[in-house]
Amino acid sequence: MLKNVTKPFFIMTLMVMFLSACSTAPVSYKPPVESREIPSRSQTPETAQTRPEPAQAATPQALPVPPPGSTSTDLPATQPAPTPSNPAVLALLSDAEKYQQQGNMAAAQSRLQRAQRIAPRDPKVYYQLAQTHYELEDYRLAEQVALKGVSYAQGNYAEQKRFWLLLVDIRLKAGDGAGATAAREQASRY
Amino acid sequence: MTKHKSSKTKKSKSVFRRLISAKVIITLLLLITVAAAVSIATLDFRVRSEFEGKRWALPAKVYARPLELYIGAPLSINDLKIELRALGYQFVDKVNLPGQVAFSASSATLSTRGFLFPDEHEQARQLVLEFSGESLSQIRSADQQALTLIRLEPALIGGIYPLNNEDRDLIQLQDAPQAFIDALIAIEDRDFYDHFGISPKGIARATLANIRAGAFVQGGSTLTQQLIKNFYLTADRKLMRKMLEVPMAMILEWHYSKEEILEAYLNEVYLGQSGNRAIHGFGLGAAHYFAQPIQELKLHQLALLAGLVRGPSYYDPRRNPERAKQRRNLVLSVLHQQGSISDEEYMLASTAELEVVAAGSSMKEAYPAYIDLVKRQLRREYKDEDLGSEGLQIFTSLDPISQHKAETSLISTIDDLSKTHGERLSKLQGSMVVTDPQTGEVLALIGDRNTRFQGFNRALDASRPIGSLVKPAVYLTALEQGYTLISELDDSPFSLTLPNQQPWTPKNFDGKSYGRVPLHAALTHSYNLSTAQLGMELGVDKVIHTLKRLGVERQMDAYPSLLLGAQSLSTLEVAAMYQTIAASGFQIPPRTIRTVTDSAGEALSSYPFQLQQSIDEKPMYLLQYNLQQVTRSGTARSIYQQLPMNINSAGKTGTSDQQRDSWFAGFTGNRLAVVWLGLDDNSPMPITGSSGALRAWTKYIAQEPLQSFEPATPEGVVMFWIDPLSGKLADGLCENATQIPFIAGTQPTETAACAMPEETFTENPIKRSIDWVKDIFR
Repeated sequence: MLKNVTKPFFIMTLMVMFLSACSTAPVSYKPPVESREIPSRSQTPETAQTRPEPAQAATPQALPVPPPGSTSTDLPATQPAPTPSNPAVLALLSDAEKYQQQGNMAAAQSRLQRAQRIAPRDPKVYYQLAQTHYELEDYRLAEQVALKGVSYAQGNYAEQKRFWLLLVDIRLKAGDGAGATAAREQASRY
Repeated sequence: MTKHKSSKTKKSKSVFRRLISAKVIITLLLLITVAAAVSIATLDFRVRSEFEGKRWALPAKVYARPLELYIGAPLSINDLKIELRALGYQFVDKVNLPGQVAFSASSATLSTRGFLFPDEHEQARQLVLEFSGESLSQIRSADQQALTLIRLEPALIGGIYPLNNEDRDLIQLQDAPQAFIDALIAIEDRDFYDHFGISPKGIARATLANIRAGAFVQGGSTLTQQLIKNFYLTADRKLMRKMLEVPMAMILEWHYSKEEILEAYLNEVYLGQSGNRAIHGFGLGAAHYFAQPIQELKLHQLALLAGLVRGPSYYDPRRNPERAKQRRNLVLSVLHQQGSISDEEYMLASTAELEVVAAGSSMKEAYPAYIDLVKRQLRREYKDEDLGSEGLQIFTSLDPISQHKAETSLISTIDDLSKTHGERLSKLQGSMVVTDPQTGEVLALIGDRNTRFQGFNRALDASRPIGSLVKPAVYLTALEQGYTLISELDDSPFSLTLPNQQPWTPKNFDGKSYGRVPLHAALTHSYNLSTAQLGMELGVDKVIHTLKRLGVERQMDAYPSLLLGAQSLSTLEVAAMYQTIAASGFQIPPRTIRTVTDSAGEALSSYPFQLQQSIDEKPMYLLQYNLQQVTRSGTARSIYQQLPMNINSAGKTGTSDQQRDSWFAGFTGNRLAVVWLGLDDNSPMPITGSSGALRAWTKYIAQEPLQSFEPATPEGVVMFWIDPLSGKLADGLCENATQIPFIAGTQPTETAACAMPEETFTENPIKRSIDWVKDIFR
C-alpha cells in the first residue's frame, strides 16, 4: 500500500532533482586547475585557468556534471595538452631537482611543499615528492604521494605512465611484488 | 716576693700575649687575605662563567605562514593590506625604509625586511606589486626587473614562554639604532664609556641633583651596576646585594668590553608587563609598544623606550601617557643639550604624539586558539621546558588573511543572530576550523566568539553531537556496498526498540515522510527516515568503520542514533573527516606545523605532507557528486546567493536533536571550513545548520579567492544519461534526462522508452557503450 502512495513522490522528487540538471549543456573537457592562480573576475573564461562555467550557469540549481564520456576505461581520442606550470612552480621544481641530484632530500622537500601549496594539483610536484620519499626509503609515503599524483595526472597519458612506472619501483622496493605487477600493467596501457 | 713574682709573671705573660697576638694578627691577616682572594676569585668566576655562559631562557617564537608572492597568486590589494597590518608595516606616501608600504589604486610599493628562513635567506628588497582584481598580476624590483617568486617575512603570532614568563626577543648591538644608544647613555649613564664599573662622577652628580630637588630624581647607578643587579643578584638580600654590586660591576668591566656589556644590558632590561608575560629587552619592547622592529622606530619612539627603563610601570605610555611624554621629552632635551640632535629634530620629536599601539593589539596574543593547537602538536615531540627556553622557531601554516576573514564572518553572524533572536541567543558561542583541502594545512582556527580569549577552546575541546554531518558516512558505506545514486530508499516512518527497551522513532525535519526516494535525493535534502533505515540495513558498525576511515579517531558506540548524528565530535575532528572527502578518499591529517628550527635557524624537525588512501576513489566520487547537489539544490543551496555559479562547492548542514547545535561543513577546490554554533549550557536554539552555521560559512567563503571543486573522474566511473521518470537509461534526446555517475557495472540495465526507438534498438549508442564497458570489466 505504501508503495502505491510513494511512487508519485519518487517521480516528483526525481523530476525536481533533474529538471535543472538537464539544462546544463555538456561542457568541453579542460584539464583540472593545476595551480593556485586564479583569473581575475573580469577575465573571459578563455583566458581563465578554471573550467568554463556551465552554459546555463545562471540557473541556481545547475548541477556540476563531469564531462560526458570522460571515463577512464574509455580513453579519449585526443589528449588535452597539459596546462603549463606557473613559472614560480617551475623555478621551485628545478631547484628541488638540483637538491635531489645532490642527495639533499630535506632541501628538495621544502621546495616541493612550497610548490605544492602554490599548485596543489600539478602532477609534477607529486612525482618529485614521491621520488624524494623513495630515496629516503619511506616507501609507504612514496606510494601514497604517487597515487595522489596519478589522480591529478588524469588525461595526461605520458604523466600517468611515468607515475605507474615509479610505482613499479616503489612497490618492488617495498617487497610488494603483486602490486608492482599491477602497476606495470597499468603503465603498459598508456 | 709575691709582688715581684707576680710582676715577673705579668711580664712574661705580656710577652707571651704579644707573641700570641702577633701570630693571631698575622694569621688573621693571612686568613683575611686568603678569604678575600677566595671570595674575589669566586666572584670573578661567578661573574665570568655566568656572563659568558649566559643564556636567557628564550621563549619559542611561533610564526604564521609567509605570504608567497608570484604572478597569478590569489591575492587582492585588500588581502595584502590585512597581511601587512599583521606585520606592522607603516602605510606611507613614499617608501624609504624597510617595513613601509605605499598603495595606489591597483598597485603597492613596499620595502620588505627580509627573513632567514630554514631553507634560505630571503633578502630585504623593494618591490612593486601590480594587482588585477583578485590576483597579483606583476612583481617588479625597484630597478624594474620582473621577479618570479618572493616570500614576505612571516608574522610573529605567538610565543611559548618559560616558567618565569619572561618574554624577550634578542637583538645584537648593531641592530640598535645609534640614536637609541645615544639616548640610553645620555639618560641613564653619561660616563658609560669612561668609567670602570662605578662612576663617582655620576654618584656626585646624582647626589647634587637629588639635594637640589629635595627628592630622589636621579640615580648614580651605572648601566654596568644595573646589569649586575638584574643579572646576578635578583634573589639576594638587599644589603648583601649592595655590597656585592660594586666589586662585581668592576670585575665585569675588567673582563669585558663596553660593547659586550651594553649588548647584554639591551636584552636584559625589564620594560613592562602584558598580562602575566614580562617584557624584557628593547627588541621585544619595540614590538610591545610600537608593533615594529627597533630598527624602524622614529627618534621620539626611541627616546620613549630609553626613558622607560627608569620605571616601566610609572611611565607606562598606555596608562600614564602624560607622564610618559614628559619623560620622553626629558630624554630628548638631554640629547639636544649635548648636541646629539639638531634643533629641528628636537622640535619635531618633542611635539610628536606617543604613537603607541593599543594594549591587546599585539599579534602575539591574537590567535590563542591556533597557538593552543600548535602547542598540543608540539608537545608530542618536545618537552615543555625546551619549548620555553631554547629559543625554538616554529613555522606554522596560519594564514592571517584567512583567519581575519573567518573571524569577521563568524563574529558578525553571531552578532546578527544574537540581535535577531534576542535573549535566547545572547550567549551564542561558535568555533571554526579552516584548512586547505589539498594539503591538510590548518589556515585558521577560532575557539570562542571573543577570538583573543585564552581559555576554553571549543574548536578542539567542545565535543558536540554532529547531527546530519554524519550522513555522508552512511551514504558512502552504501555506495561502497553497491548502492548507486539512484537506488531507491524507503523514507516511510518506522519505530525501533532499542536494547534498553526504549522505542526509537526518528522523524524528518519537516515531520513529513517522502516514501520511496532515490538515494541522492535523501542525502541532498537530508531525510532522516530513509537515512536511518539505510544505516540499519548496512549496520551501525559498518558506518562506524567508515567514520574511522574518514579520519575520526575516537571510540564510538554502535547505537542506532549514531546514524542521525548523536555522536559528538569536535570542530577539528569534523574538519579531518570532511578533509578525507574533499581529498577523494585520502586521509590527510590536519596539521599546523611546517618546520621547527633551533634559535640559529637550523631545522630540528619538519612535518612532511602525510596522506593515506583509506577509501576507494570511485564511491567517493559519487559521494562528492551528491554533496555538490546539497549546495546546488539541497539544504545548503542558499550558498549560491553569494557564491559565483562557476565555483563548485560541496558540503553538508547539520542540526542536532532539538536544535542544540548548528553545523556546516563544506569545501571548494581550495578551502575547507567547518563552523559550529551553539550554547555552552547546551540549550535548544531557534536556529538550524542552514540558518546558523551555514551563514557564517558562506560569508567567509565568499570573501576568499576561490577555486572550483573539480575532482578528477576516477577510472571505472562512468557517466550515464538517466531518465528521471523511470530511473532507466536514457540519452540526450530524452526530455529531462540527466547525467549521473555510476561505478561501471552498477548502472541500470534497462533502457527507458524515450531513448529506445524500436527500429534502432541494436544501434543504440548507449547500449553499445555499455557493452563495451562490460567487456572491459569482465
